[in-house]
Amino acid sequence: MSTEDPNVHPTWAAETKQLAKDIETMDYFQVLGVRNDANIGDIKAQYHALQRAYHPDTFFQSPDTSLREAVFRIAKRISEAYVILRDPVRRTKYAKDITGPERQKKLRFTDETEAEVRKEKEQELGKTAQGRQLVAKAMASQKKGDLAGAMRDLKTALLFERDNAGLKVRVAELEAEMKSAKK
Amino acid sequence: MGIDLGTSYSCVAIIEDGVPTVVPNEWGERTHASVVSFMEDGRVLVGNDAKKQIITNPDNTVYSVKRILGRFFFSEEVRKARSVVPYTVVEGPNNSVRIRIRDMLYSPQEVSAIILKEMRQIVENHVGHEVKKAVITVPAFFNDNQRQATKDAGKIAGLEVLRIINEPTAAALTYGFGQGYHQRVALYDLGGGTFDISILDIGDDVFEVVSTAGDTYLGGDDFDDRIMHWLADSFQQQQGVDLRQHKYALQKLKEAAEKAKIGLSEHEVVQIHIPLIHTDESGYSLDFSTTLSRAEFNQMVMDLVQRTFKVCDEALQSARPPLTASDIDQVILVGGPTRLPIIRSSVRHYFQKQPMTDVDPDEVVAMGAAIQGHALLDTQQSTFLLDVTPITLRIGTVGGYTERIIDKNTPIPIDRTRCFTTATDNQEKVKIRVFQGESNKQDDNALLGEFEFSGFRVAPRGEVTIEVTFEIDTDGIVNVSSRDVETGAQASTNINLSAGLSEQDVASAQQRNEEMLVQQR
Repeated sequence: MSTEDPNVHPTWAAETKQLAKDIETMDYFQVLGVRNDANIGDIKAQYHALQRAYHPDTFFQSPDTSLREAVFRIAKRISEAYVILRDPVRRTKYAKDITGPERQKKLRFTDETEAEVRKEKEQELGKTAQGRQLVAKAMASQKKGDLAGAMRDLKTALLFERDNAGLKVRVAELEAEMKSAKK
Repeated sequence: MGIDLGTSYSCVAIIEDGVPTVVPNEWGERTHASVVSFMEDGRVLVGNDAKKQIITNPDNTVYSVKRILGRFFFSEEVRKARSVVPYTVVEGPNNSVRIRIRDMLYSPQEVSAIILKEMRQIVENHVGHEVKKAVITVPAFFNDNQRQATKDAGKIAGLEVLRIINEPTAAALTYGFGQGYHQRVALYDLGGGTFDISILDIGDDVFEVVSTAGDTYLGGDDFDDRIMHWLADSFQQQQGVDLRQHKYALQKLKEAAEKAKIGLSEHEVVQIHIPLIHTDESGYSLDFSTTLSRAEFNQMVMDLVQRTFKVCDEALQSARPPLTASDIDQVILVGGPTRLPIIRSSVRHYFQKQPMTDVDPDEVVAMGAAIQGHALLDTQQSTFLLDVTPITLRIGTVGGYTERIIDKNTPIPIDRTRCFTTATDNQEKVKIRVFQGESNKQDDNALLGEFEFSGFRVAPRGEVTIEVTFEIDTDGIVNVSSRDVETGAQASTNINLSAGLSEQDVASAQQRNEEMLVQQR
C-alpha cells in the first residue's frame, strides 16, 4: 500500500499518475510538449524543464509508491522522446510515421524503424560511387565553412540519386545552416 | 556520505553545514589506499597501513581489487590481474572470482566491502553517530556487472546504497553545484586504474551528460608500471639480474616507481634509491640507486597520454550533435595522476584551454557523491543528474552474433521492448543472453547474463509472443522483465549465468563482515 506524499499537491499527484497512463497514446512531440517544428534548442530546454518536474530523484523518498512508479515511467519516456527528436534523421522519419495511417503502431520508435533509419543513414552518405564521393567532398567543404560549395556538391549528388531521402535531409539541414549563418 | 571507491585510493565526504567536506581519519589522512591486509592472528588492516604490508605480507594483502570486481573468471582482465598480483585469485561458483587468503575464500565484493566499512567508520568517528546511507561512485565506463557488484559490496558493508553515480558526473556536481552555470564542461578523469571522459551540459541545476567514453584498462598504475619496468631494465643492465623474477623485489620497485612518479609532479629530476633490493648467490645484499628526469618519464608514457585523447575524440564525436574540442567551455581534471605536468600540458594543448585546478583532483569525486546523497535526502535541494549509459546493450542472436537494444550514450532512465515468438510447438522456455559492448560478435562483448523466460501458454509454434523489456535505471543498472503479449501474464525470469552474488551470498558475507576485526592503529 502506498500512502500520500505530504510534499506533493494531491491534484498534481493524481495528474501525474494519469499522465503515466496517457503517455502510451502520446507521440514524442506531445511527450516533450514541443511543436512539430521545434528546433534543437527548444527540445533541449524542454527536456531539462520536464526532468526538473519528473526526475525520479525528486521523489526518491516519497512514501507514495505508485507516484514513484508513475514518475519513473514518465522519465523513461521523456528520455526516449529526447533521443529520437534530437537526431535529425530519426526525427524526420518519426514525423512521417506518426502522420501516416499507422500512427498508433508507430508512436514508439521500433526496431523496424531503427533498421530503416540505419539504411537511410547509409544512404545519406551516398548510394552510388559518384554520390559518395560528392557527399564526402561536401562534408569537407561544410567543415571548412564553405557552405555554398557544399550545397553545390550535394545538389550534384542528388542528380545521381534522385530518390535518396537521406540525401534530401542533408540538403535541408544545410539550407537551415545557411539561413542561420546569414542572420 | 559520499564514497569514492577507487582502484588505488578511496576517499569519503559528507555535507557539513551545507558544504561538502572530505572527512580525514584520526591521523589526518584524507585519502586511503584501497588495500586490505589479512594478518596471521585474524586481524585485518585497511588503508595506508595495509599498503605497507604489500611488501612484507604479499600473499595476504589485497590491492587493486576493483580491477576484478564484477568480472567473470575467464575474462581477459582477471587473467591479466592473476599474472601480476602476488595474492591468489581462484575460480568461484558460476565462473566468478574468489581471492584465497590462507584457507579462506573472499569474493572481490567482500574485500571492497571491507574498504567501504572503513570509510563508514571514519565518518562515524567524526560525527559520533551511526551513518548508513551512502552514494558510491564508479567509473563512468563500468558495465552492469561491475555496478551491481559495487552495490553488493555496499550492502555487505551494512550500507544503504542510495545511488551509484559515475565518477566524472560526481566531479561535475562538485564544480557546478549551486553556481548557476550555463556551460559545457569536459571532465578528464584519470584514476589509478581507469580513464573516463564525460562531457556535460550544465544548465543551472540540471547536469546533463551528453556523452561519455572510457578505457577501463588505462590508469595511473600503468604509468607506475612503465617506471617499474624501466627500473628493472636498468638494474638488469647494471647487475645482470632480472628483478621481475622476484616477487618481493618487484613490489619494492613498484613502490619506488609510484613515489618517483609523484615526485616528478613537483621536481624536474628525482633520485630513486632502493636499499637491499637483491641478495646475490654469495649472500651479498645490493642497493639500487638511479635518477629519473621528467623528460625521460614523459617519453616513457607518451603513448599512454595519447591514448586518453583518442578516448576524448570518441566522446566528442559521439555527442549528439557531434562536438569539437573548441565547443568545450571548461575542462576539469579528476584523479591523482592528472597532477602530472605531462597530463596538464597535454590537456591544455588538446582543448586549447587552461584546465581547472581549483578542487583537489583526489577529493572532487567523493565531494560530488556527498552532494548527490544530500540532494536525494533533502527535498529542498535540487540537482538533476541526467546521465547516460556508457556502453551499448545487446542481445545474443544465432551464430554468435548480437543485435543492439539500447545504444551507448542514451540518456537514462530508459527502456526498450522487444518481442520474441516461440520457434517450436509447445515451447516452454525462451532463453536470451544479454551483453554490453560495441561489437557485433558476442565474444567481443561483456556477457551480463543469460535470462530464461518460462511459464507461458502451451501453444503451437509462433503463437506465443513474449515481450521482453530491457530497462536501464538511474544507477545505470540493467533490469530485464517479460510478459505474454496476448494474456498480459508476467513470465517468470531466471538468471542462469551471472557474475554477481546471490542474496544468500550477500547475507552471509554481511555476517562475516560484521564479525571481522578491523585493526585500529
